[in-house]
Amino acid sequence: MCGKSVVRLCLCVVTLSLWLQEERLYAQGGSAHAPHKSLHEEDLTTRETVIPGEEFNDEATEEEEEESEGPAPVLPKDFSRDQDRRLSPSSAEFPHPLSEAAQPPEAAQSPEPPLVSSAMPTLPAANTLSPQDQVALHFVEAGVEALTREDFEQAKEQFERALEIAPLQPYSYYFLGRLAFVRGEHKKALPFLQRAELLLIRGDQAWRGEAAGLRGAVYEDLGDYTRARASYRLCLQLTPDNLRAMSALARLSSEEPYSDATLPR
Amino acid sequence: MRRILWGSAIVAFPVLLLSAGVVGWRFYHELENEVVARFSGHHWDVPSKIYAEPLILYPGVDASEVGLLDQLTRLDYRPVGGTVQARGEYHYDQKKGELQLFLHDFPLPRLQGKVEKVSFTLKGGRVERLLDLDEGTELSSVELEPEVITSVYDRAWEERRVIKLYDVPSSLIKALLAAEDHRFFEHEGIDFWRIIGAVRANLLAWRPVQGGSTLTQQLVKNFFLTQEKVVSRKLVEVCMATIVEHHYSKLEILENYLNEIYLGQHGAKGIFGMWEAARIYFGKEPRDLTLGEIAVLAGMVKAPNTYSPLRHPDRVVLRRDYVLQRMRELGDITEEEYRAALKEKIVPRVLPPDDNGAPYFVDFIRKDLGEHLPDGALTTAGLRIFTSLDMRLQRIAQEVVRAGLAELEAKYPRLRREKPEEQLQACLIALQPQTGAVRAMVGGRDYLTSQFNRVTQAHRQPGSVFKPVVFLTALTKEREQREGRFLPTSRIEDAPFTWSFKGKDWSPGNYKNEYLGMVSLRRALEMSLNAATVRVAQEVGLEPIRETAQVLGFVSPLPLYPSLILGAAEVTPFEVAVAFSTLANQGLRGTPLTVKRVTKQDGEVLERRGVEVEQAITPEDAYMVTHLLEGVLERGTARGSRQKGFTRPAAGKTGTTDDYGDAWFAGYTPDLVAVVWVGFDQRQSLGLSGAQAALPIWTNFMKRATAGRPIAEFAPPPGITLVPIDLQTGFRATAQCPVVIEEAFYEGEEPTQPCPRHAADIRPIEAVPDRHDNVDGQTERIDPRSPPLSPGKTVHPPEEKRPWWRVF
Repeated sequence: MCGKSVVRLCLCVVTLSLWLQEERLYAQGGSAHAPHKSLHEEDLTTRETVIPGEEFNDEATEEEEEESEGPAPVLPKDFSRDQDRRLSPSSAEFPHPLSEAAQPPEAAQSPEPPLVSSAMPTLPAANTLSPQDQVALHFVEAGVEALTREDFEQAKEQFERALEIAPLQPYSYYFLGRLAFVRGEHKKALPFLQRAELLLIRGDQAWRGEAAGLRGAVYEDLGDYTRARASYRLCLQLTPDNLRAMSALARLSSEEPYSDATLPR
Repeated sequence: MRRILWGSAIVAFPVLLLSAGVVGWRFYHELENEVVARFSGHHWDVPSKIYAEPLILYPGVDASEVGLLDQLTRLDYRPVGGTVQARGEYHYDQKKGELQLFLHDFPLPRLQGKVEKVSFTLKGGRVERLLDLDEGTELSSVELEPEVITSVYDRAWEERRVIKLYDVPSSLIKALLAAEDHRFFEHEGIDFWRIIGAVRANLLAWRPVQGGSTLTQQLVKNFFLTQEKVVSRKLVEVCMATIVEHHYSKLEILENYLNEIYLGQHGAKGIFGMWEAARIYFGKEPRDLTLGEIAVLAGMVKAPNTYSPLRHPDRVVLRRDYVLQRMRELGDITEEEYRAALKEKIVPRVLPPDDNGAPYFVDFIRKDLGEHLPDGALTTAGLRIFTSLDMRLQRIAQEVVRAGLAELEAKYPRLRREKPEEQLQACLIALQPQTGAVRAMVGGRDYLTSQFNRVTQAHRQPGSVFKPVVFLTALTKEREQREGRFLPTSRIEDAPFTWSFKGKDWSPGNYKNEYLGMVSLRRALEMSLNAATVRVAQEVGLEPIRETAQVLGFVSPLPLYPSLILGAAEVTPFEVAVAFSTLANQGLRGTPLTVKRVTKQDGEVLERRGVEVEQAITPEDAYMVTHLLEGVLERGTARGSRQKGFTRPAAGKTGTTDDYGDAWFAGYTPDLVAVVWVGFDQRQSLGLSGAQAALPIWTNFMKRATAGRPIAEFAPPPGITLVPIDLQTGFRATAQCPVVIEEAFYEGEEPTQPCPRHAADIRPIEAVPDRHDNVDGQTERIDPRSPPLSPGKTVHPPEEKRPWWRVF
């Protein structure tokens, strides 16, 4: 009994001395065990190592490297999958892929390209719309904001809400299509974009052209160059000064011979 | 002898004592294990709640149309006389046309910014302006919290929401301790002084007037024991209370007590815990309760139903005053607070009806989610299930189905049945075609009598409702080839004939055996002519028709027999609704959407479902059929809908089976599809057509469901040309043609020759003013009345040269 007590006492003394030593080391900044980080600190550490959009930038770099091995296209691939997922403000800002400016800058230094292009037509003024359309448009705008900050779930939620309130308004369709495209769900994007175009027939032709252009980009990514060309052509027909569609058409004509016979009805 | 006895006793006593000690220790130890195991692992079975689609209010919305004030009552808002001060209050000033609202604290995932107090300016029944009362800023919209359709219970109908101790106002805890156990923080589970006091009081009164149980004992009794009043249970309760006090802190015990305590009934549901009691009895969260209300709740613990403010407000006052007095004696409240609380009035609340507004829909969801969630999660995990159901449309649907059946039984007494399970039945489903969202679902006449959901479970013959599939196939088959294809103006013979199929003869007959001779494809569909339809199908082929049906959304087996054409293959109304919504949505087939999101109580999303659409058929094809189906309401079998005052652009098809056992109507506007079925479960004959039995219900539903919504038209997509034609001949209309309609053609297929029958002025007209706005701004249609075709009379085809696009 007594022996056990002595052993326990010794263990306590040893543990206490070890703990005191550890505390002293920690106070000197050289502890054997790092102190527990707060959640906030952990977050900050993570943010330093993982740069948002790094994966995307890597992907873009690889593709551009691949492209550089083949014949250089005359105009930039503006509507291409990677670049259009984070649409640039305008096609004129896209330099030649082989030029110096086209080299992907360091991920940490470059600002994230926007997901929603400033070259897009502006949404209609609310006071020109019906009450349902007005409120739906507010949800669309909220969705665009969410899309810009890459909160895809929230963006989808807002666009779908807009669709429920005003099911015949084209903008929610357009942005649902855009969201699907941004997420790489091309086949899901197509019906939304087609529906947006249908609803825009008697509406804003600039937006119809925008939808057609984006549909062209979807087809191009899917490898359906014939439909892509047709969509880009429609885009140009509706918005003749759309440089992105022009460049895409020029690029496509060098990739595959054009055939009118295979055009969809 | 005596010495022997004493000796034995001396030996036996320690042995017995030791044995009793061992047994007692063992009993206590087992009890301890049980208590710790169950107390530590204890969680309440919190029922999940199923919510409908929330109501969004914005400038321009018709407040009376959406039933704003009724909706506020259903959402548990209470009217107040002046400015709103607490959550859940609203003030409506009819003279000023202003409604102030203090929103409940509901975690809406979509809410843009946190708005608490809102002011609505109303003008002419419409919301004119929305204002954030705190910020003074104008708002574009306000989303009310969604209405609870129902809670999902297991066997015990316990309504409870778990609350953390730090969310409970301290005055509520003080009131509870003052009323029930003021030495709670001093005793070890048993309050001997209280027991002595209780025994004394009971002896003096010679009846049980006071209990001696502490909060811990009450908690143990509710957790582990029965309400049986026997000594053995009391002893076990005392032991368990001591164990609980030994293992858990006072605060843990208190938190458990606040969530466990039973506080009365609301219908069939028991109210458990302080949060739920505060909501039911005062429409508030605990943090918003006044001192008087807190005293009422604390006083209710003794006898929840005796002191229920809903049932006995007079008794409640006495009990409340007692609790307040105890609080004052114990120094929990000041004299001023005491006097102010005494002055509070207890007004019994009128609770919103506690009924499941969509029982068939809830069953459908439970089955659906039951396949995805772990067993029991729905009834115990307190999930929040957000659905697509529009409660306004659901109520309309229930009303029109009930009223429609009652009307039919009144008009045709032969349809009445004595036994409830044999009564005439009907079902209705409404979908938003663009999203696939199920907006309303009524699976039968009365859920209490029959839980069989006819929308999703009843496989019935669709009859002529299936015909649009045949005509869609006929219009679109072999689109590349011009020859051999049907156009809306194609002439078909409507006369008795026999189809020999696999060695068997089949002779389809028309409704009432009336045949119209040579008719256009349009006329065949509008008048639902069986013989003409079967001739079309014979040319098109059965296999393509089945393929089209499957593409549109039919999933039931469709055997390849000629009777398929006339809707002999059994399908559910749900499938019919999906197929018609594909037509309404310009060929995009939406996956039906019922559950949109499932979250835990803390808001963590477990499941989210969004809009899924797929291009099933081309927009041109969908439009062609829609254009034909519009004629069904304008001139065809469903023209009764127009006579009943439903004037919006709409398309649809009636359906009646051979034996008159099923009556259908499936129809749509550009943004709402509804399908109605009427019949007997026992498949007895109704003796009524779809136009007689189902169409009136559909019309009543659509009239009310679309009221206040903007009028939308079916817009032709590119590739479709609308051409004015003479209805009788199918040629391009001239100014002399008596009945002109606008017909849809695929681009390049439109007729160019002017109508030879009315050739006095041979210049073809360019457009027909099918619809125009009258002076009042309401849409009005020029009545393109049907040509004078009396039923049964064969109309000979015109003698003139037939147009090039169709030779039949």
